[in-house]
Amino acid sequence: MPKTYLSLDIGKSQTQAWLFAQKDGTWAVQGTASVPSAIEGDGDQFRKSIQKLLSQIEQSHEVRLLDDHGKITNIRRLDGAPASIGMSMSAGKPLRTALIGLSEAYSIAPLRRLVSLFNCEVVLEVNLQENLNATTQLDRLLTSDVELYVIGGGANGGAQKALKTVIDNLRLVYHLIPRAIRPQIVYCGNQELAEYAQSEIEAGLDMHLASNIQTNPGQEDPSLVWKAMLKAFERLRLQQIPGLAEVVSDLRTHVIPSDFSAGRMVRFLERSSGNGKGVLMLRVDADTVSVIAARDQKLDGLCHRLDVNDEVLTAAKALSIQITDMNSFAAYIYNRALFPEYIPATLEDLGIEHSWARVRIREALAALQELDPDFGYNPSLGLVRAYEPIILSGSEMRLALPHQGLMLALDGILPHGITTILQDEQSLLTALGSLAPYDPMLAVQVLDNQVFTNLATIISVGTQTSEGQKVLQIEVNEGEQMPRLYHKIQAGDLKRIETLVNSKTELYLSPQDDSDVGMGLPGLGGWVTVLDSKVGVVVDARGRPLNLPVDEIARAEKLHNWLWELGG
Amino acid sequence: MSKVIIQSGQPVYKQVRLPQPGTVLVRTGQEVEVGDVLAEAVIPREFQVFDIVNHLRIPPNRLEQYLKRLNGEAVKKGDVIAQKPGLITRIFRASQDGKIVSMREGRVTLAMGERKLQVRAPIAGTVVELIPGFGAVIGLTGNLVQGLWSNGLNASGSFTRLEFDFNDPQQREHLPELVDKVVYSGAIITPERFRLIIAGKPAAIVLPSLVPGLIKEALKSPVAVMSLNGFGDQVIDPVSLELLGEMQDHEVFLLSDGKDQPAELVMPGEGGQNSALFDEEVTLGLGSMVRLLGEPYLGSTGRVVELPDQAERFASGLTAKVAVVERHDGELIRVPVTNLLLMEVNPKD
Repeated sequence: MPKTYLSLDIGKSQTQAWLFAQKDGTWAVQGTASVPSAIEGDGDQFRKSIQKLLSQIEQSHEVRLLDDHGKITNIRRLDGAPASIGMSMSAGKPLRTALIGLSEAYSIAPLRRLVSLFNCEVVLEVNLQENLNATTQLDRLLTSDVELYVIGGGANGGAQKALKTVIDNLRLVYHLIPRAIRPQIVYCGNQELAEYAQSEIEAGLDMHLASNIQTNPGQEDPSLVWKAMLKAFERLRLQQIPGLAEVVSDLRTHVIPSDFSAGRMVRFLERSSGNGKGVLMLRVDADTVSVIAARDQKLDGLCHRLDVNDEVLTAAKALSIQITDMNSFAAYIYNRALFPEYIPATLEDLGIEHSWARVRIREALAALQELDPDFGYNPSLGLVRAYEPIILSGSEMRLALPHQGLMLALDGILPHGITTILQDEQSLLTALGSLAPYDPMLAVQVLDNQVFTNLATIISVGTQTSEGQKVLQIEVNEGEQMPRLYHKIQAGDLKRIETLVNSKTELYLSPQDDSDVGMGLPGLGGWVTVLDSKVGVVVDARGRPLNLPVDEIARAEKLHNWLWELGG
Repeated sequence: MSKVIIQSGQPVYKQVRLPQPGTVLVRTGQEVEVGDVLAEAVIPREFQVFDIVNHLRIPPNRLEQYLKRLNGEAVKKGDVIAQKPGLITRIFRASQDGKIVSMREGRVTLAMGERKLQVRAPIAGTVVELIPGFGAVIGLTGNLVQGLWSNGLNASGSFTRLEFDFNDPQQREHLPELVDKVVYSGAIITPERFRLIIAGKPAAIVLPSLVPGLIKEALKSPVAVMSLNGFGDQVIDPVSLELLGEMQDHEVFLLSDGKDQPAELVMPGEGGQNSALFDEEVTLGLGSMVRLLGEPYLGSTGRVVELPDQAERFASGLTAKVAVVERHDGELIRVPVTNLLLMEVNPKD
């Protein structure tokens, strides 16, 4: 049997599997399968769901995954089993996390950025500079029902007293309160106290030591703590999800967070792109939006769940192409949360669904901006820093036609300058991330194989010109034999230019003096070569922020016209 | 696929567990009444951390000679834990009965008092399974109506269907007696009407659906609230209505899975024809009763009459596997399978 690798992702509603095999010496996706996730209930249900998934893969591909009775077994005992299996997980409640640090700027903020990739919900922050007395501090640590404690803070060789106090309190928290799930402790602070913390807390395998997240004053490197965080994440999930420990043991794998898995690949793409821009991934699912951004060798990400309230409902309704009364709009959103698998079958439902996705994307980007001020998102102006490509994935994108998915992403992100929008229809970034440590060439070769759908090239025109004024002239070169095409773009326009099938299209951009197309300066233009894409080249001269009519009917009509321009 | 059970003579199981390990106080087969304690955990009520070195101004290397108690010792209120003699004697005494749980780096930590975490039976029944260290599963048989949303509160009381015309100004002052009752209303309940019902001090309010403007208020309400179908302006289906009719003037229990989570309405009764031992997993098939989840048919019910193999394209442009549903009025509707809620009902329904 050929050498294969298998990746599993246990999502909130679906558990997916991808089988990779070598074809003509190059790694490629050989097959995929999915089953509904079954993490609630007893371990038997979970095991059976994974068994069913593996059986689907085994039946249609040349690989052994189950024993002769169709059961999960020690994978090492099977001839023809994959060389390795990767496993990622986004299912399960976020880990209730406490951050403990010596200062807001140098330890708490870096810790927030660190844990946001690991499906954590920060329920307690203890800033040791606030000089809480030891009793109050202990009380907070005891009453916050924390599953993961992350201690940072202090330069190596720096002050130790406050850290020693909190370490002593953590020892009490760990040993005095009986728990169903043993909490995990990650220490990434002053290294001179690392051994002290380990011997004092006496948490055995529940204690995870890492290098100091603060490499120099004002400088952080979260990657130094990733290994410890992954261990803590896995130990918590193995305790929380019945049956997971046995499956992980039989498949000889490790379970990592899905966002972290995708983040590995986003980071790789950024490092290998060489265009000086960042790489952004947005996974838009029914209930959450994950944003992963790699830029300047830095990786940030979060999984954002938007709480429904009147303000966001009003904002979303204002972005709907359908006229709907507020009660029906709100009822749809609340009912949608009860049924994540729901498919919008009518145009009215689709209009609500997409306007809600736009707001969810905006709020997720704003949340990442709050986490990392260098990210480059402004709630009214959009994504002001350059990211290329921007990769879309998730169930919400799969539910949309290409031009619909592009439109909601464009309105949600509001990019500036020139960028490419891709769609990861098979969620391969997540699948590859968990396999990357086993065989880096696998990820490289699969990604080299143009596995993403090219949705569009976006050219955003930054201008202060009033609507209707010319901002850009575009000359399209479709080849020597073809006549040149010219497009005049006016402020307020959203224009689609089709690309040549299976070929490159050249465009010459001539912006007006005060129009910026992202080539360095306002008024500066030049040739741009774009690849074939599903929607084509989209020239967005609508301005930032979007200028939408106040009148609901006029606004819906304008939004509808924009969508129509992109494909109907 | 999501499913709700709306059946009489239905086995009902309610898991009751502590958030942390403790002692289970019941045994398998034991009959329990509402409010019986099933499990408890005892934890210190509070802690006190005292920095002896700094507060008594003791040199750290001479700490041992001033400590009067050892780690792990029980102490009574007023007991001296550390004492520094001198012109003015400095003393650290236990402020309450408790135990010394830590002596490190010149700090003494006392655990004081005790707090019991208890979980109680929300409904009478038989303990059918123990969850070692955490709690138990209570089993009973009865009429069961599962709902999709609740505000997290459990309640019990006599079930009453509120026949009241909210639009009639003459009736406004004459709301029926609702005290401690589980009240069902099929009318559209606005926040104003909700407050009117709450003023009658019912034990719980059950609605076919909740208007979005009421969600915030329902979550804060001290009265248990349950929505059968979710949100919006939905009417109750005939099967649920009939079963609720059987509950009239009987004691029922509203058991919530938590805030913003599903709940179920249970009327304990005699064992029916169902038995959990022989239950088969109910799946969608021809003849299945379903509730439609999307507009314009939101909340209406019918039976599946066809399950085509081929996926179909809908008005939104999306393609999905479909079911053909015949509604009670005879209308045939093609709906994505994902937009159906399977209803497990008695065969006669």
